[in-house]
Amino acid sequence: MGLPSAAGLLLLVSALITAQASAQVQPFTPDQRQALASLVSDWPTAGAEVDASLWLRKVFLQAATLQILQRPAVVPQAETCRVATRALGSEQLSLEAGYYAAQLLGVAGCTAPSNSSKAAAGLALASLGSSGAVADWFHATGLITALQAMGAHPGLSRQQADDVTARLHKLVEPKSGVLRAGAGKPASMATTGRALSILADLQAVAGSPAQQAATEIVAAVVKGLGRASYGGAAADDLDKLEAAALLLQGLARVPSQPNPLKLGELARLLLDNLEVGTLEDAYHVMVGLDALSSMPNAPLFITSLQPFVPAFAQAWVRVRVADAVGKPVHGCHVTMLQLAPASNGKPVAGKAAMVEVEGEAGVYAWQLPAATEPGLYRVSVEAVVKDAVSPAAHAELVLAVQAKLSVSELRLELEDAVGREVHRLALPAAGQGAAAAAPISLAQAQQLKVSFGLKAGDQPAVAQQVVVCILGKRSGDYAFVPAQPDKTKRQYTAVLSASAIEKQLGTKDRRFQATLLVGDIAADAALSIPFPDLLLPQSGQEPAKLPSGLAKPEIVHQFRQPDKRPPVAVAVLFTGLAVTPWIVLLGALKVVQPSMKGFPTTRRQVLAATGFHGGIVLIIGLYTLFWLHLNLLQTLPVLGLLGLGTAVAGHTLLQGSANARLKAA
Amino acid sequence: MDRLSSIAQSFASEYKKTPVKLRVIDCFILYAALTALVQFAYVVLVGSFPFNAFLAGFLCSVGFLVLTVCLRMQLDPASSTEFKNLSPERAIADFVVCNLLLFLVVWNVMG
Repeated sequence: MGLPSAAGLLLLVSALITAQASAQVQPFTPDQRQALASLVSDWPTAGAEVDASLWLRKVFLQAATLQILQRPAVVPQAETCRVATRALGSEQLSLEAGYYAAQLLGVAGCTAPSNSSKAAAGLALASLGSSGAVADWFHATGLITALQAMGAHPGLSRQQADDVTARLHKLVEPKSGVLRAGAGKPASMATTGRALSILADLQAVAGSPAQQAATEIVAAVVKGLGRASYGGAAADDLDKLEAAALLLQGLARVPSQPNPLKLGELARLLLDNLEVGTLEDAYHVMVGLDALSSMPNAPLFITSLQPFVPAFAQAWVRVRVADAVGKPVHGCHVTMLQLAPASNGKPVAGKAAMVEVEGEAGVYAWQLPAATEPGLYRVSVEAVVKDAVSPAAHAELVLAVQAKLSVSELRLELEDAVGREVHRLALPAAGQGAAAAAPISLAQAQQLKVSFGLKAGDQPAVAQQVVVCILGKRSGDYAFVPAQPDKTKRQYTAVLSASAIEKQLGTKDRRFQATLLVGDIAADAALSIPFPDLLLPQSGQEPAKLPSGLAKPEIVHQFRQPDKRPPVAVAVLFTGLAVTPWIVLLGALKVVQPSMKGFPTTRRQVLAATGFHGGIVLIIGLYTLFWLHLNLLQTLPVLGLLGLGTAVAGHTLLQGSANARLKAA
Repeated sequence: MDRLSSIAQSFASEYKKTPVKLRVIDCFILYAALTALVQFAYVVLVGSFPFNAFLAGFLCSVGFLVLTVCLRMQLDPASSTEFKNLSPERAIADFVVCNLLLFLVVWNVMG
């Protein structure tokens, strides 16, 4: 392991800032876009034996995802046209394969073959008439819409469209606004999304369908979505991402104004799943976000563009306003609501308008006051699109205002065991050339006191990380000794002793490189100040003798704090309560009225009974002595003797009792 | 409510038929249960310090209760078929020895 550099400390605090910022929902980052594009860019090869349905589906998902990612979607046109055409003309054509084939023909810009198209459209129309499943209607209307768009089919009649709309209307659950997948099948969000897309397709292929039924379906869905949480409503959906994507696609295609909070909920679901591992999930996330960003009341996202700014002149708070897929949103009203230090929260600046930066769409800025002190700040920002349809976006951002940190009055003092200065070392200014300076020999009974002050700009400052790093020159092992500020927080001190170093790093190394490291979120750069090397006496070497007559430091014992006792009144109360079972026992015995008539009468038996009961009393008395005065070794021999006597007496007593009982029987 | 009172009356009249020896044992069972309850209430309401003393006292009460219940079962004529090879004298001797062992352990843990 090498010595962690001082810059590493700054990286650490940067990571802290980044972690705080990422706790909020973020729109797409360029890295995430790149990762998704890499995931979906690998085109499958289409051999003769390939399953055309699967191949078409995969290529369609890839092409659609890349299109949304604004990547050059290099769809293998010739291959796509060949497989899609062949699939459409196949006698075993399934509805789903036909849907993907028709979609891809459009994406790849192929010409739809008339015969195959006619056959596929016939299959779709047959499914619309005979199937009771919404998923089949979805694929059928999608297929016909795609063929109509390519001029290969005239579309549906008004009657057919009205019929499908009426059947969809019957599947709406009135309370939740969620649609069932078919008669007697469970309701799901995916079906709801598909139903909305079907309505949009019907509008496209057949003109205005049964307008009232369609309006009622959309109204029921929007109303239900506003009432329930998406997680609850999508309880019956196995794939939540697919359901969210289908629902958003449907909502974006029909005239609707869904509750912005619910849209935010859906956006969060998708954005939380940006790091997906499969093509299907990538497609669902991208399609959902794309649909969301096309809605007039889609949520906006605000991100910090520059979390670190210098404290000196021309420092700006810069934010970026983007939609769900990360496209910058131009022309917003962006307001900085408050700027407050992260530590005490007392605002240093109030409400102020942020100005859109010229030439940078979606980037808004506000200049910090000149006297802003270095430190960590929380910035509250609000953004509203000027047409006021979108809900206001809010964000709490973290901003580090940084200044140049410097170390002043650095002193190295060699002290004896009781803290008396033995020698003061001259250190080259600000550590320059320290490595070349003569090493410091640290005897066993000595310690090296490092003291210094810290400044941010011209002002005294306190830093988050102030440590002296000790690196073993031979082994590369290292240890940190923290420097502590004094009460006024103007002076830092770290004490290095041979014993403390050996305790942490062992006795392998005798020469150490010491470096003062200072890092803070308010520092524009971390400080790394090397000291002269430290030399420890060889292991086993006679430790340096203390000066004769020198008093050793007083040993201060630290005792454990006694546990908290209850108030006397409570203790007395419970003592009284502990006695009450005795009273209950005596009362109960009085009610039961036990008699002594079973007590033996013969002399031998009386002696045995007395010995047995007396033995038990003595043993309990011995236990009490054991509790108060004796130890176990003292107690056990006496217990053995008493136990033996009691056992003999008890045996005699109980044997007599048993004999009498058997005789009576 | 009437049904409850009739159940209680029936229980009381049946309980009166229980031998006195067993009723005395029942008194001790009640005593042990109440003692354990008071200690538990103290720990819940006030605190568990000193915890070893609480453990010793509580487990002593519970242990005594269990041993006494066992004794009652063994002395009860109604369950004589279950313990037909165990004489009442043997049950009493077992009870005494077990209790003395329990108390030795408890005194040791009490601190």
